Amino acid sequence: MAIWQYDLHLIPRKAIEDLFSTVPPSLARKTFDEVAWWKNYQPVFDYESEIGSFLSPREFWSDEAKAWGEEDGTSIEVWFEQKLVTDIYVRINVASLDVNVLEKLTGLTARCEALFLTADLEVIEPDLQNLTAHIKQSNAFRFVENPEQFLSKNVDRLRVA
Amino acid sequence: MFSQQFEMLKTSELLATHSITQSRRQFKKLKADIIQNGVREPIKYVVYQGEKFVVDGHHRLQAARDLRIHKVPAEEVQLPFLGYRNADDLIDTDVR
Repeated sequence: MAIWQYDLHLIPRKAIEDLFSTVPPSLARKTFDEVAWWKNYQPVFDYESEIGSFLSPREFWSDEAKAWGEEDGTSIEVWFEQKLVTDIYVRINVASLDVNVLEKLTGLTARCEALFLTADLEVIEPDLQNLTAHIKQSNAFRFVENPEQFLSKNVDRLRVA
Repeated sequence: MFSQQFEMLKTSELLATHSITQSRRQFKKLKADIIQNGVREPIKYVVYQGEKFVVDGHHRLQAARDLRIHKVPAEEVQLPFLGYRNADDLIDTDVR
């Protein structure tokens, strides 16, 4: 992934509610990795056509996933195991934000009855205002806004990482 | 193939600017693909204050490190967005 991309996972709301009774503000990395989020909540509509209505399908390196959009741009990957969805992974190109695409994405997420999980594992509602507010707080946004300043501010931290 | 077109850099020379965001399932599949096919796409980096900062290819880099692959195909790029207008302007005013 690229530094100018803002990453999200789609997580079924009911799977989160099953686990926590309510929607927590964030997830632990271990929880995110260990739960089969989509196992009991497969999307029940033609999500491939819906994604295809705003992003073009593309070739992908794994035959266990389908991908739309551009690898280093805005992208959606749907991952499968035995034909069942296991992950829906979104990368938004913050360098050329397209509000129409963000709107379609929030619509898709709502139709999947899912929530966004950010790269910081925050759980957020699929709402356009909410999403853009989070994007504007992200490293991807700070980098795009001023790459040199971003690297300058983070150079010491990155050297020891 | 890459050695002819791209430089091969030690993974230790490259500094990540982003954490891993793929799920463990996805990342495991990426590593399996790299075991089979190697790192297919060069990792892109910018040079800043003498250091090589990764701008694209964080998962590939981490996967290579986990697999103890010491050299990866890499390509230096220039900071791509310095000439862009302020990113704040890119967001439609209706959604602010």
